Amino acid sequence: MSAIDSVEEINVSATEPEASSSSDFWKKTDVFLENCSEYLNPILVKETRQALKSKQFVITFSLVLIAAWGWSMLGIAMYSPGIAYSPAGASLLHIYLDILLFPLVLIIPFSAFRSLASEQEDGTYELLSISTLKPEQIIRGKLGSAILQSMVYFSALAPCIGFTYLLRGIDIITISILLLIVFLLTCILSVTGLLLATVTRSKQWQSVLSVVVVLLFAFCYFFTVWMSLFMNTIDTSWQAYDQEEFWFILAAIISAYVSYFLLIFYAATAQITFASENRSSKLRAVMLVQHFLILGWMFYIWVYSNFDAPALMFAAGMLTVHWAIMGALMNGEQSTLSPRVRRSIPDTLVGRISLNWFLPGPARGYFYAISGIIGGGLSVVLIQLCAELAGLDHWYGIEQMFWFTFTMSAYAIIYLGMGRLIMMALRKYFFADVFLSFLIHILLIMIGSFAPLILHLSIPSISNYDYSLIEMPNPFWSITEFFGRGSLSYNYQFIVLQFFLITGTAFMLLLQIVVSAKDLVPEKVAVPSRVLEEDALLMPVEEPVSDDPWDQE
Amino acid sequence: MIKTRKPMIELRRLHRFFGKTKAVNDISFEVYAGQAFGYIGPNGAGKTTSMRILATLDLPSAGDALLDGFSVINDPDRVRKRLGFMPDYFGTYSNVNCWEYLDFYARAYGLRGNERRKALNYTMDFTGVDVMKNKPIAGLSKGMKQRLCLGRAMIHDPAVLILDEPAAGLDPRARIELREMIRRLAADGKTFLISSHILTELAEMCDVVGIIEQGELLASGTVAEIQKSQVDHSQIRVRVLCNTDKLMQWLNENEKPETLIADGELLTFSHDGDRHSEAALLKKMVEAKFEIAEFAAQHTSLEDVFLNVTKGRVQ
Repeated sequence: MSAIDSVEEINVSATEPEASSSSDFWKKTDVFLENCSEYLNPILVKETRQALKSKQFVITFSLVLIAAWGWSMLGIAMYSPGIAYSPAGASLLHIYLDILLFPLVLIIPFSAFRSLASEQEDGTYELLSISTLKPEQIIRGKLGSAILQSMVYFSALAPCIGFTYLLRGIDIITISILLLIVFLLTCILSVTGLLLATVTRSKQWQSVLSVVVVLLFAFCYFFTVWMSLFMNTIDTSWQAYDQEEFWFILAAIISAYVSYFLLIFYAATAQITFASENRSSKLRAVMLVQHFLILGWMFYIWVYSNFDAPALMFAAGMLTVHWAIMGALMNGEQSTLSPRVRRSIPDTLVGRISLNWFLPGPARGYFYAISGIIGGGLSVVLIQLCAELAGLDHWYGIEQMFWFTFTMSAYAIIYLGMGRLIMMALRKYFFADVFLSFLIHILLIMIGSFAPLILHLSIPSISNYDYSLIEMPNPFWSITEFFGRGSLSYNYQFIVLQFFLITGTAFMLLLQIVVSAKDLVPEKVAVPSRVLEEDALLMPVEEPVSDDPWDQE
Repeated sequence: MIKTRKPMIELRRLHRFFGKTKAVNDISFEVYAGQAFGYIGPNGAGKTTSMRILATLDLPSAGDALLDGFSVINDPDRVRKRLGFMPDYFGTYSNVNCWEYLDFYARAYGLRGNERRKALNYTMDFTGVDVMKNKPIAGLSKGMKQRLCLGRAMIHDPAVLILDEPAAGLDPRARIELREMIRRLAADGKTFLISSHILTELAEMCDVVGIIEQGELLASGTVAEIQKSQVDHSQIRVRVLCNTDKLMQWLNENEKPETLIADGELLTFSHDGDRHSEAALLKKMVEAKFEIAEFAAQHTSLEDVFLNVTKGRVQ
């Protein structure tokens, strides 16, 4: 950077504080903040500069302040003169929260959505993507800006919320939990807005999407306001912070929240990541964490409820649905594994066996999803078996648990397999992405459920509402029919269904292995010499220095 | 200005298909460090598509493109560090002034502290944006926006600059100023890939040009090489004060031109050869006692070559 280096630092000297000046303090603060900003995400710096200058922020902020001031006056007038003695704190707080919800649930998440969508519309996203910023930094910066704006609104209403604490009828734990919920809601809605902004780059579809997103956030806003008003009508003595269940449910909700937040965050990041990069591994890791969270929490509920609750069956059901949704999305990944990703394939056999599942691609995605389903089912059956051997009370027998998990797994394996084959066929004609894949799987399950029903009802001889073997493709009715009544009966319908499911699953697995064999074990690619050359230049390997005095001259 | 024989830009059998449309069809060329490569072609020829692939904004259907030896497919992060791209649109933000805009890109390219401040000062000084650093971008003229965009592309001091139609829509003064800036950067050793419809400008700025149509590279080389390979002869116009017929006869006997047209005392005829042979011909005519009042050789321009090579086909 010879030309640049030769330039004198004109502005640097200008920023140096002048001695004994009255504005010394502010200049020093300015320099300090400028230095601090060096460590901040560039997107956050840019977005904050833009947001604080925008009319939208000024208008919303003013409206929130006016509404809060208005409600303070009105609330005091309403509860006076006994405001110091009546439990008015909760009512006042709920309205303050409703005021706060408008920017936090509607405006900020929508601004986050527009901020990324407009970058794509105006072409600035392209310029951003060719900078050295990573996609994760871009999403993090935009999310950081949303969080910063929410902090500004929280700060603006902090005196009002503090005021409610001074009144009767509300405690600090309730205030903290409510504020935490609102904050977490803003974060997850903002990251959802960012994910939705990546769905399409076409201007026409972006316009349609904008309307959908506004409606979605408006619904969330009205729902949260309704919830807040509803909670206000309940006697406030319901809070049972000393009860174990409350904290257990809170911990479960927060762990689920964190996992879904990460899933949405990484999905948004993957959507804007360059096609030859690995866009899947982090998402797959989060899916696995969610698998163990579901299993862990359900196991806890099972133990907590003295082993007789259907928590294990519920766990198996949740895991199947979880992996079926994730499998439908993973089936939409691009089948080509770029040489860049192939470079990262582990050298050792053990490394490949344990880490290849996390590599992108529909073949590995399909087997990853069904491994999750089978693994979840086996875990549940194993827990049930242990409980039975230990003589613990239980709701269902091991046999029933086995057939239940097998039936669900078999349906998922067959439907996901069919979805994958359809996606393979479609990819020969046009570009098909994860969203199309998801839609195709939804369509497939709808056809599988409704087509037999229509056929069933249109045949006069069997047109009644009893289960018949025509309904075999319908997983919902079949599972409810055989497992929803408490005890399992081995009638001929059950035996025929299981026969078809066993054959269908075996055939589908075999077919998938045949079509995916090549993709399941990808070959490692050597790092190009130019890359090694540059790496060696950037991180030269130091020659080992001998401690032996005889080696030294 | 060839400094070393290391290709900074290399296209290897690059293909890009959009359905049945072959936007880029088997293009290969190399641009060496310090060279300026002019990319010429009609609208829809595939210039922007191949530039976007080089800028890591798109992936090729087949083939590869390398920048300083790094593949745009497999090492886009390393390519981006070395690349400054100026697309055919501005890509500016609302509620941001010129300084904030460049400051943001400096940060986005990982420049911190003094390094960022120096880069900002140099870029604003170089592009002349410093006089309006606090002005909102929305209020800038097209010429100033183009300067700002050039500043954005060069803020991280990249080795390669790809400029897509940098002079489009600029007035003559802004065009000359932009050309001057590009010349200064080229003199600094930057490698350029420039597309433009203003062919005379490209001829002045670029060491090498490539003519592309319907996704295919029809010709490439130095302007002189292309002119020589594509056109057989130049035209010479002579105004003789008397003895026009005699001169015609003399030319037919001595030069045997393919075409010879007389218009009063003005003679226009074809001539094979370089500037030295033109000088020799003039000398011979003077020695043959013809009173030559005007002698002008009309060489084929890049525009003529372009029209000759391309067929105006549109996909």
